[in-house]
Amino acid sequence: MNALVLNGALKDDRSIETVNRLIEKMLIEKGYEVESILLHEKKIGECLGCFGCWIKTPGICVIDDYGRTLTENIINSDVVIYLTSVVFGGYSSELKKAIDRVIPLLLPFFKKVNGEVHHKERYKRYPKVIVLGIMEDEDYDMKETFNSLIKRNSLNWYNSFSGGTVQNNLEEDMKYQIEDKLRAMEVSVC
Amino acid sequence: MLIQKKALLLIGSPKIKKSTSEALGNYVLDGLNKKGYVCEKLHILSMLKKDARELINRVKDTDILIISFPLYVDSLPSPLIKALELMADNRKEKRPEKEQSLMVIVNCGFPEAFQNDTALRICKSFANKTGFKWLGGLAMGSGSAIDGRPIEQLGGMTRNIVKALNNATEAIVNNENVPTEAINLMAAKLIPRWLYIFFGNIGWKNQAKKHNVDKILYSKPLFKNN
Repeated sequence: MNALVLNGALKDDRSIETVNRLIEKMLIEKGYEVESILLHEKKIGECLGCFGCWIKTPGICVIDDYGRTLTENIINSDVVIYLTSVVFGGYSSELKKAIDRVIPLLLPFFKKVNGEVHHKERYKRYPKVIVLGIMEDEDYDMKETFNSLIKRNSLNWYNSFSGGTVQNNLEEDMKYQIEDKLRAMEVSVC
Repeated sequence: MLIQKKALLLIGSPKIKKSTSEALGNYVLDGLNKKGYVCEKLHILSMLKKDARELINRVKDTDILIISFPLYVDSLPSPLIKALELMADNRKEKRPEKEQSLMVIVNCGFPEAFQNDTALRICKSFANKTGFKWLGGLAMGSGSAIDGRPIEQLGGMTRNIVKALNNATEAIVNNENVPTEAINLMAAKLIPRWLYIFFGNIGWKNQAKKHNVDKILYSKPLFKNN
């Protein structure tokens, strides 16, 4: 079993380094092979909304950079952890830059999911995604927005998302919070 | 003499030309221009690459900020998030003394306008945290039906959109919240959902045919254990 941690910290943000190390340790203890990627260190261009990955080179982004490698790593992982600071209730620009590049994993065609229109799946299976949003202060609205974003992503990626916000405080307490979020992963494995 | 108010449109679509986001934003900006506003528009991704500081300075200088963007994976395109992060950092140091307002327009490729709700909540949260007066947001589905064409030229199909944008422009001039009526008009379906799915799927196939890849449209090039 392999797990991929996508660390969406901004260039000068050290606040989620500790959490990244903590998650790595916890996943290794559960028997996973873990790779962490600090996204801002990689060359990942912005998705330009050209749909080339659907209609020119099906399944592969037309931009030849680390975004392609990342997409391949994601689809071949058992578990992917999105790690980000909660930015106005959403993901950081670094994490989002990577996520915007993974639409080649879907097909352009539409289908209904839960009564809404979404894109059809290209692959038979998708990794389980656990989203961890690190928050410095309590903020109910941002927390709710973040949770709703996870739910929306889950509909697009065929119900494989879970997670939520984690309050950045004492290491022991964070460990407890993360453990709680990782439990969803074990349920899916059983 | 009255000081003319300034309006700044930020285009959040990474597409340089003919984006639906720009078409929608242009319509509001033209309306404000007619009301005497000094208007300016900037393409976010180009500004981030060229001169991010100038982007921040233009935002600091405006009275009304309008951000028009497409929904990317359930939220904002990454360059727009980057711009919001930079603006927030800048405003932490010193907020502009004048009152500034924010209004957003978001469009998505799915027929349901409500799929934009989370993106609107993120924008509202940004406004609240950074001291912009939140005027509200207009969200529409079936954005590809506009396909970057000027709204004025689209005729009957966009009559509700035109009304919604006119109402929103009026609200901006009066520094009031975008009215619920405008929000509902903007969210009204442009074409029936089944028709959108039907033509959408045909459209994708035709585009793939043009590039000679219609036979491999369903390929799974990245999966190692397939």
